[in-house]
Amino acid sequence: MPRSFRLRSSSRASGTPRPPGASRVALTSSAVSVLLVATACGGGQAASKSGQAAGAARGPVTITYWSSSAGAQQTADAFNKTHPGIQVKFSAVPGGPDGAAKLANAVKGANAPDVATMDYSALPEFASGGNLEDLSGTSGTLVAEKFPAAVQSLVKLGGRTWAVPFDVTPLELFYRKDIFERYGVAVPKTWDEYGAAAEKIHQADPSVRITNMGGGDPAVLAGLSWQAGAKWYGTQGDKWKVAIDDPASRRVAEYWNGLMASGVASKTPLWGEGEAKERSSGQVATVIGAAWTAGTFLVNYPDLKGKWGIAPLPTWNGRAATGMYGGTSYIVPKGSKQTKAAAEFIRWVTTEPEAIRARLSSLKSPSSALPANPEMRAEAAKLFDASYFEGQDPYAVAGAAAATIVPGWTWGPAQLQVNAAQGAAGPDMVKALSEGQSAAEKAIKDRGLGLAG
Amino acid sequence: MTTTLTPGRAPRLLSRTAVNAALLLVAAYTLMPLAWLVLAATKNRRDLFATGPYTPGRFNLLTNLGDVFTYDHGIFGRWLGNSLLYTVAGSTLSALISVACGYAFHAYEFRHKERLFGVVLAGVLVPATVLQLPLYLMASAAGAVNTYWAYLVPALVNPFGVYLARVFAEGYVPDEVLAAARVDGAGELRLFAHVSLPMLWPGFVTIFLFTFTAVWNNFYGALTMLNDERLYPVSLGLFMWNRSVYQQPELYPLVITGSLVSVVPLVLAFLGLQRFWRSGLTAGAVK
Repeated sequence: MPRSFRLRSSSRASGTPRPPGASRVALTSSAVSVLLVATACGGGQAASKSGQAAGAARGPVTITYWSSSAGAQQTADAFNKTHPGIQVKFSAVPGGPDGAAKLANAVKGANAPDVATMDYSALPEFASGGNLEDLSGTSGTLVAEKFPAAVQSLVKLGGRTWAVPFDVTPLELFYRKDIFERYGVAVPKTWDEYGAAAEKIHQADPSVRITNMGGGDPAVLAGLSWQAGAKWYGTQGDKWKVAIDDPASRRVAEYWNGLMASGVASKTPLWGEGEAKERSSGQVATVIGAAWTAGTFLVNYPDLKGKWGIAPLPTWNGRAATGMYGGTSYIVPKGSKQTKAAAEFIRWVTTEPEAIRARLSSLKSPSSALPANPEMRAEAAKLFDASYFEGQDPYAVAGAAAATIVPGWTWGPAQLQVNAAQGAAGPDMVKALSEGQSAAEKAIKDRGLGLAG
Repeated sequence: MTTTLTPGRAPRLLSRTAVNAALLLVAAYTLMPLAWLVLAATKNRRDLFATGPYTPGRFNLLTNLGDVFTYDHGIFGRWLGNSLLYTVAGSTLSALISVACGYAFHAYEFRHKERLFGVVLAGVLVPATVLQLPLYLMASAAGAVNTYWAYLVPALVNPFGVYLARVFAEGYVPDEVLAAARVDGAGELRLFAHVSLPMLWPGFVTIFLFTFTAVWNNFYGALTMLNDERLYPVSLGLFMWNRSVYQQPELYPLVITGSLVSVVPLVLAFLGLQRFWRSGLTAGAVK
């Protein structure tokens, strides 16, 4: 099979065919492609850069915006209606690691948008790779004044502001009220109680396990370690410190490996088809989720309306604490010529209640994402239809949980590689930690960044 | 199965059983995911998770299809159209260029011919992923990023096709025919278009089919080159939906049904053209 259909070398053929007068026939493939690239040159238009006005004085400024967020198009439309001076041109792009790679390529090729969304965990990697504009001047005050302290450490690195937070994602415990009631088990407040509840429920009904935790999304392990007091990354002088395989994280990993080994927790991976099956058929009693998880239940498990309760994440020592699971921020990729207009759009989209109204009203599945900005959060809470949770307000629970996020966590410059390595480790969480540790050390050294200790 | 002159029936029966069993395994391995896809596409969301992977649920295919083609103002239909455009235009032109090049390598003598052919062969060995970033930077410099061209032009160049076309040309286009046509006064272009190309038709179809699959599945090219979802081919569009399932769980059944729809054109292309393809595959073999 042919493996590639691409432009090759630019070696040129000087055709000297046997019969005279036939030279124009003998073009090599590369020569043809060179011609066609030249045609593309003339015929193509760089859509991402077209329409960019030279300055704010003449007509509206156009900024380009890439995101994989749901409702981003409608949010941009709402912004455009109320901001005649700035027009946002939105493109839906894929999320995840491939989307991140795409954005990095776009910066290299000077085709990057003026605004994009990015997972918190990817920020240090992009900032240290020189792919982000420093927003200290344009959005630094906004971040300092309008956002809670726990997320500030995620968007500030080396004393500079690289992104503006959109949401906070505290881990919470979603539990089946009916199952806990049926077996007379109290909702666990500590991980010890959680383990005991797991055993009790599984003994009473062997088909029910406490939850599924068989790998598939290392971000959960990160959040649980965060809660336990781990700090996977830190800096020491101008060097990076990596402590993924530290005692606090180990404790978490060994705890979950233990639950899975004794069979009271399921080894089914997160996010798969198997998970949906176990959850919708009542084979798991709890789900470790984040603030945004609540909204997905309405679409994923419509039959279980009224059966889910939400509680704070169980703790290690009785003191309320939680970590974060995912979360989105707004960035300005390196090379943007419209950083001021970009900053205005970002301010609007992360703090104006109007922005969240536009987003939420456009969604087909309800979003329970918890905005980091308090005013916006209040508006989002008003718009969420909480009837699925019968009497419980997911925003109130999540808001209270957000206040207990352990401060001081920072992500590191190799988290994409760490995530890939940990994902490959499967359900073994201890292995995920050691693989993650070595992947981070290797990536940091390979990229010529300083590694402490 | 071939008949052999080996004595005794038992060993032959045994080997035949073994071969058939192996083939059956391979067939099952290939067909099971497809069977899953077909079945899953007919289920509604509830049955998808409530029933086993190979047990049919309530028949919901038409509703699913309706959902796929109406979601987000029918963007899926646009993706499908884009894919067809990229693939048909891309692979027709690419096959034509490859056949012309292969023919030229066969029919003409020119300086450094074998060395050039060596360059083409070396091109076959370079994996597509290695070239993705350089191609992207070239397209950026040319201002072609996020246009149809950025996706189409790289697809036109196919060193493996050139190699294949040369083999075909050696098998199908005898020098005597070329000489006779020249004596009759045919120009070189006419010679190619009216004499050689018809003889190379099975080769053309073979290369066309190879390229068709490759362009249809050229996911990374689209991922790097295109930013506007209205230009996306169906593979990238589906991937984007699949990545968004975390946020928008309503997309889950759409991804499954959409995947099924997106393989249909490939199946049709192969069924329609396999007659040519089979004759093409063996054509150069004896030479």
